[in-house]
Amino acid sequence: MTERRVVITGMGIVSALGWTLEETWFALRDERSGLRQLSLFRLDDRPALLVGEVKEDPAARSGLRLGSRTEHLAVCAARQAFEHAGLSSLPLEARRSIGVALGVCTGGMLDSEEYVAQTLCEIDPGLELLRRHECSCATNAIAEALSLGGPCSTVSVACTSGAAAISVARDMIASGEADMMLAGGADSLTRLTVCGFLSLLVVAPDGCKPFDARRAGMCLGEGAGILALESEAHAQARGARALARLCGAANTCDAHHCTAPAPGGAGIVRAMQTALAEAGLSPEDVDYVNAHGTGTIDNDIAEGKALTEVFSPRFPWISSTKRFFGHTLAAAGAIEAIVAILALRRQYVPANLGLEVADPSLPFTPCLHTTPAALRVVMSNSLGFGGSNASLVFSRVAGEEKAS
Amino acid sequence: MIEARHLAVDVVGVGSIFPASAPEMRALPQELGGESYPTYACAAAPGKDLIAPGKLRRLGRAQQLALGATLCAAPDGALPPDVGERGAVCVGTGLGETGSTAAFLKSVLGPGQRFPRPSHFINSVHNALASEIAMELGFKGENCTVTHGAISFELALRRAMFLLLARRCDAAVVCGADEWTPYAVKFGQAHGWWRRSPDPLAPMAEASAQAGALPGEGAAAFLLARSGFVPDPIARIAACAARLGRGGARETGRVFLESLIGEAGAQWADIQLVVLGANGDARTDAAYSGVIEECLAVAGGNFACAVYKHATGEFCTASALGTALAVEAVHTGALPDRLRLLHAAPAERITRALVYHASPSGYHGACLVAS
Repeated sequence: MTERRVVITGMGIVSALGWTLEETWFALRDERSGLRQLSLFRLDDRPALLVGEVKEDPAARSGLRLGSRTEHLAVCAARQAFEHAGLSSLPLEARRSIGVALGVCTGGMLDSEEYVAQTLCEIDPGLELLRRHECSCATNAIAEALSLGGPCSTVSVACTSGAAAISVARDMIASGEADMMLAGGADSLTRLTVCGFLSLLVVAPDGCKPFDARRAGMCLGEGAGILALESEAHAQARGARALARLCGAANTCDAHHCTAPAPGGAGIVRAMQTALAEAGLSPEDVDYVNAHGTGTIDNDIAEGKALTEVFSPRFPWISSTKRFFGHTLAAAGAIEAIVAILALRRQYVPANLGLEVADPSLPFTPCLHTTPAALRVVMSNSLGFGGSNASLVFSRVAGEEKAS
Repeated sequence: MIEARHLAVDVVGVGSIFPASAPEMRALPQELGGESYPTYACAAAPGKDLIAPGKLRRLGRAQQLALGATLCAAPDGALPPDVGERGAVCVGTGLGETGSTAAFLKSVLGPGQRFPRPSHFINSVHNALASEIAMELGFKGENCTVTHGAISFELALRRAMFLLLARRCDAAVVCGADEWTPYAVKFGQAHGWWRRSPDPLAPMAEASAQAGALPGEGAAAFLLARSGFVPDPIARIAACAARLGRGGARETGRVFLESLIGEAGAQWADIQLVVLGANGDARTDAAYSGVIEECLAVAGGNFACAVYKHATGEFCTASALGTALAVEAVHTGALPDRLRLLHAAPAERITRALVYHASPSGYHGACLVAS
């Protein structure tokens, strides 16, 4: 197969840090976490939790008449990415070939939970609450909101969903199936995921501390990250500015355990090595890794060992940004890809917020404070349930200067 | 006729779990109204003859369906040893494990409930099916789950074909699976999919046309390999496509199918059998009739048409079972028992079968199976 180069020409993000790329960047730069007490729903008799909850109701901003919270988040981020890519004035006919690949885990679950809760109280809630249960509703909502008519796909690969969707979109463009795709991930907070992770005893009520020796677990978040991907030739032809090149992507599976990563992180090692090989780069070329770094004992040990195997003895800058956003599940891979690209363009490494005492079992120390650095190649890692792993590699585009 | 063989992938094995041949009445729980729904249901523990008892108890129903079908499709020795890192898994599921999800939610949302089972949460994740398959086969390549309504299976199949053709893997399991649960029924009810009459589905039979179909469940899995990886494939997938159509159903459907056939380097005259996803709902059956009439009128061809949802009921990934029957037809050259012919039998041995699925929400999905 002849493959075409793929570049990023637009980005949109909604998270606990804010509603725009700028708000997100300022919070990263100033080391301000978006975590706060969960207020979206009540959980009786359960401890107060710090989560990355989006401030304000996304329904008020999405422009959708109807939709689940996930759909509103997804559409808000997609509109930003579309505008950022300079596509807002694109004629309707030209939008017909643009597709959408979205990673979603919770979809309309928040509404479905309401349905279940009411039925258990012997109330007939009506069926409307179930109509938007499917994960694909968010994908279709983006396509409808922006009048996009190209290929659409919804992938649900647990916490690697966002990165997996970006890979799928990249492949569609590289193989010529599409010239342009919006890709990323979106998920809202739900009772299912909050109570689910609580039941697994992996939630730290006071927030996560990735790679810290005293880390006690993860914290959840919500949001959406959407990237506009297109072939380099297509971007050049329409005079679009390329923000970064997506030069490598890989997805692997541990085939080891339904939730725990393989000890030693063999699967994420293969994902990183495959993505680098595809990019024609060596580990020495990587300047910064945005790690998955959830703050659970198992994840950080497995990923830390994997980073050691791939990069030791010359480690790039490494940080997990989970304490800024919380773990946004399907959105995480896309949000963190955007953070990596922002780092690349601003030439700053975001802090590994929450890290106080470095884990002595790891031979590297993540970046403690947001730091200026010369970055040419960055990597974003994602790990998820089912032993899924994903790694994305982005590089600067030739001739691009430091963004203002 | 020159087929684009280099763009095809080999089918090494196929496995399927069909529901019982006739619908049975299944009652919804009291909190969901207690109504009874005619349902095409699989056995109580699907895959129990293939899955170890300890594992079977741990799995949710959709996982049991998917893993059972996969173990039929990929018995020991079907592939060269050590595929491991060169083996991918692509699963399509419309709703995933709604049973496990509902069980978990009831345990945290119900009055006085505070002790949820973590296993229900773990199984509720959509990719729980694909990860079980990967663990069972030791496939460590890409592991992808597509959940995009009525085209979930076709998109998963297309992803697997891409991975094989791009040589990112040597073998791939593709599976379509969905389970029947009370919540899946309510979800379909919210979209107006079902009828209450217990009469078996009679797709494309005008005399028994009714509004709505009956819910079903099942799974089909395909062990695929890149061309030349195994010596004797049973069939090939020559092309697969899925997308949301716009405009009139007749024209859109014909153009969609012609594009797919063209992608495989074939033409209508090469196809002996078209397997339709018609489900006995008068509204959707009429759309299928329109597309086929349009194809016959505009493109010519002399193919036979057959249906299968009288044997599966309706669910998001039922087209995986239709595709399994198409593979069987091409492999044996004859019509499988579960396929019901609409008109005349194929005039010659079946070497190419086109599976076509169109949903009320406007999705079109199709794949071309060839010998």
